[in-house]
Amino acid sequence: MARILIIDDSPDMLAMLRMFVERRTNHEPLLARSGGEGLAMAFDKRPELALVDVMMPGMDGYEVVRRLRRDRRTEGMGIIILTARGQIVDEEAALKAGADRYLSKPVNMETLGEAIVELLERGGAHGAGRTALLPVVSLKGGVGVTTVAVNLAVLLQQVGPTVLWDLSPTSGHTPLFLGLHPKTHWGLYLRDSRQPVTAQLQTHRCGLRLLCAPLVPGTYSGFDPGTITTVLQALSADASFVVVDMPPTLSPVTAPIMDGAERILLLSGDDPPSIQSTLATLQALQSRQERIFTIHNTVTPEKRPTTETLGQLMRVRFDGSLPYDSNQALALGRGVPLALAKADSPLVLGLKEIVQRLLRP
Amino acid sequence: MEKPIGSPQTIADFFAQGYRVSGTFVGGGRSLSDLIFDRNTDFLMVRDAYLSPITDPAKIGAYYPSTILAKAQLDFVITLDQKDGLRRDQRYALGNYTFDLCLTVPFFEIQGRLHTIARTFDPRGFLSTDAGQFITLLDVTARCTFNPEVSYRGGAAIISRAQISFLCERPAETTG
Repeated sequence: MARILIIDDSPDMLAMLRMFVERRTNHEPLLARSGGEGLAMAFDKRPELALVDVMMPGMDGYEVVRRLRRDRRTEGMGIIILTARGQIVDEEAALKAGADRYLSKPVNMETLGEAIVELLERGGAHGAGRTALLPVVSLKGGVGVTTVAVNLAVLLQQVGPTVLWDLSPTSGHTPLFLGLHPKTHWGLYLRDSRQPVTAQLQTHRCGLRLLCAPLVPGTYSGFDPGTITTVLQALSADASFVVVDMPPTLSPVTAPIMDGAERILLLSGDDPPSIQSTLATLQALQSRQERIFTIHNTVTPEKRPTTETLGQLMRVRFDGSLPYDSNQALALGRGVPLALAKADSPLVLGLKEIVQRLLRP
Repeated sequence: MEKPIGSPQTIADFFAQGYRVSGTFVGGGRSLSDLIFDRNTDFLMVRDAYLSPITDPAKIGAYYPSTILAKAQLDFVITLDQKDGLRRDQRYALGNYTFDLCLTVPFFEIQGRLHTIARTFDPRGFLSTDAGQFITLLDVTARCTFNPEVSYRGGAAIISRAQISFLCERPAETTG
């Protein structure tokens, strides 16, 4: 059963559409009487589809659609514009704003039903080409965030166009893993944003594109949430996946990444500082709990507690487990990502399992 | 066929002095066309009026819950459904003779079909001697002068006779 958001200022239309959605399509209707209320509900409940009226006091339907498309949480949802403004220019405006379908009132029930089924089946017109944002994070250093981010990105590149964004504020190391030199990086974009941030991307021979961090820390001004959002939009434009090697911190600046993430890959070691950081991160990210994908990463060769034991100890359900892999150090030394250097090594096999789980609908 | 979902009220696009007003006509039981053709009323009540400039007709510039439109200043009204643009008498019988007309009102060129009881069409006589402030054309396309790509279509248009500057009969389309 899908959730269908209905935004219309007319109580009669809301009642009719509610009945239609419940009885004819067997989906769950969410009702909003204004554009503002509808947006808040969409961001909070993340419905699969929205039926949006155009003529509403305050925020009109076109603006609602534009804002839904601009926000990473709702950019891929199916949107049907329903309006009494039935002119060609109105249809053009609706589609230009980002709607998948335009239907003029009075709406034929069959036509509406077919449009709903079609959009839900394909996950929204934008759903097919939707970019999955996957930040990899740990508040404690040394648990393999960059290793996982790089190899995950390399594996995802085999599925679809992928961008790896090294967001480290202190001399990011992703180029080392990929045998690249950080000639271009996001620091240059922050200094002069006349060029698009995509001009700073480097491409690895496997096709993976990389946005490096500046080599010398502190030489460039930092990000703000608005710039983060702009960069994300640019990187997502023609990518199926954007993997972010996150800094070991949570702040309002990186909130747009966490808000827009398809899954937040939280890495945890099994040493006490790591356990403490993981529990603190889970608490801090409580509102995004559903999207957190917790991974136990073993980074030392000594005998360590199993993921199951660690989960019981921490009262945390781990979604994935990565074993220690001595091949990783060798691959790093050669500047070749392990996923390419030794595709059947234990760490890569563990990552492949994680990729499969991430790709599952 | 199932009953469509939507309001049974008449929603129309009103054009006057460079503005498009989309709204719900309030007629107290009378049809939009009957009230427009009624010489005893000078104004129309429109509920939930959304105002757009004709140069950007899809942009909603303002919203007014209730609006009065002065009929004397109205250029034309387009209704999507033909029956919303017909007077009561026209709903029973349209004229047997049809003429494809092209005319201009401020900022628009309008093409549509005139139904009449006259066998021949005399533009001068039609404009000067025919009764009524408005005329009705069916299957209408109104093209914006400033931006011909912007056009409005409807089942009917009710056009102010006083606002018409050019009027002509369109020749029948030929092939070959």
